[in-house]
Amino acid sequence: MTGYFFHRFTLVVLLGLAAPLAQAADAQALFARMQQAGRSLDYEGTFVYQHGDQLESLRIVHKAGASGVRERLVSLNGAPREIIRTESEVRCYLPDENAALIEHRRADKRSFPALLPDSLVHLKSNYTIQVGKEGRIAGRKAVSVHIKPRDAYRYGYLLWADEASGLLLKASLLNEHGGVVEQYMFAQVSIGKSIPESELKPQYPTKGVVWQRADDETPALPTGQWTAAQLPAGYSLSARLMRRLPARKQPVEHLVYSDGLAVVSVFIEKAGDEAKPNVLSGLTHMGAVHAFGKVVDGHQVTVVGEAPALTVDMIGESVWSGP
Amino acid sequence: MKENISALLDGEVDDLERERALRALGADPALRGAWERYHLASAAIRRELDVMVAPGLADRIRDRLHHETQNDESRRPFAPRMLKITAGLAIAASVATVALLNLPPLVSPSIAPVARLATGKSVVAEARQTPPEQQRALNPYLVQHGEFTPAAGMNGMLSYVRVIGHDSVATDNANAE
Repeated sequence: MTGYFFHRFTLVVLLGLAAPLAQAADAQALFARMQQAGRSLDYEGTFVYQHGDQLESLRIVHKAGASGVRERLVSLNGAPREIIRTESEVRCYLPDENAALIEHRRADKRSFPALLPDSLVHLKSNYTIQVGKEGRIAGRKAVSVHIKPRDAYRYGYLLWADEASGLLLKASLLNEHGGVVEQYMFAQVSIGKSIPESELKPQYPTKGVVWQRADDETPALPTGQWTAAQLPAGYSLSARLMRRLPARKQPVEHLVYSDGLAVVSVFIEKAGDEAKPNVLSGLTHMGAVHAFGKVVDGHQVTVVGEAPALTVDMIGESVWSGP
Repeated sequence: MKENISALLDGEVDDLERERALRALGADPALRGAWERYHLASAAIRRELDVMVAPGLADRIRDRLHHETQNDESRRPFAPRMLKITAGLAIAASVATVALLNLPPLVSPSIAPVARLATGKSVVAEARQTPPEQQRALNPYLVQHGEFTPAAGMNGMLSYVRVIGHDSVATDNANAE
């Protein structure tokens, strides 16, 4: 009897464990495929992007090759803005502002094109992950990954990946009530067709445009220790670097805080006249991005992140110039 | 006695005075109220109200301990009971001290939302929509931030979408002209 009970018990325990283990393996495999898809696939398509009551449509062309991943993003309504990014730089063409921004990518190679979390193990302390629902997006079979936050310091994510290729077809950022903060979804996508070079060139005339080019030289890290004194659980400093912003003389210190999925950037620069007209002060949001600004010790602190108000506010308020 | 409580709050007491102040706190509800108000005031000055505990915590800890010691009294010999009461007071004191005196630096950030729930108000101001001219000023930051966002949520791309997608207000104005 005891033996029987023991076996029953073991079986129940094993069955109980088997499902989550299989799920974990599924999630890990799916994440790996999604990451691979972002690196190795050629695709082009049209997607919609919704934030608040706003709806935008955009076109994306994505080409992987010997020279790395290149991508062109065009807004289809409103001003015909374009972004072209390569492994080394990001060019933003903003014809409505008669301007073009060029940014040099500073992060190490690992960060492009996919900064997917290294392992789900780390993620699991802050999120629960469910995979496996089946659906259909842009006429293709898709499988879902639901990443639920364990507390109010991060958004949830509902992702739909193409079953055949792993390409992400739909992504929704969810608030603490499960409501959609912003989402984007392919309406049409073609995967694997070869993409002509001309598709990766800017499509509108660049004559007369003011180029705001960030200086390529990397300024040295200052000796001061700017830091966020208070971080929400699970967040830690994942990068610290100096950069130059277009049309600014002073270098900007950039601190990156992350929980493995959510990312909050803190920028610190000497508060000067050039920043005056549109100085960000207090907490605002655009879609899922919260932005925070304040002046500390004669420095402008700007914080942006796809994270709840609570998180951006806590990090922003606690930024100081160190001991 | 209030001066002693104030000194306790500032950490300007020796062991004997601390003992006396804590004993007085345990016995006097008015003093406990004052103790909490001092903390509230000092937290307000330091702008740390978001991590303030619900009012009456010191009272509740004391009541709970008192209740427990009473329940146990009938079953226990005198000496251990005295020990327990003393220990109970010591615990009450240390809990109250940890919870109130050291709260802001010690509190784990994950407790903050609970504290906010307890106080029934969110300290984080309701974030308003970023005005269009500031959105423009934020673009360079968003571009640099985009470099670090994970592709899990296709955020790598989304980050840039924001730069070129968030111009609806400006666009609407342009269309109206």
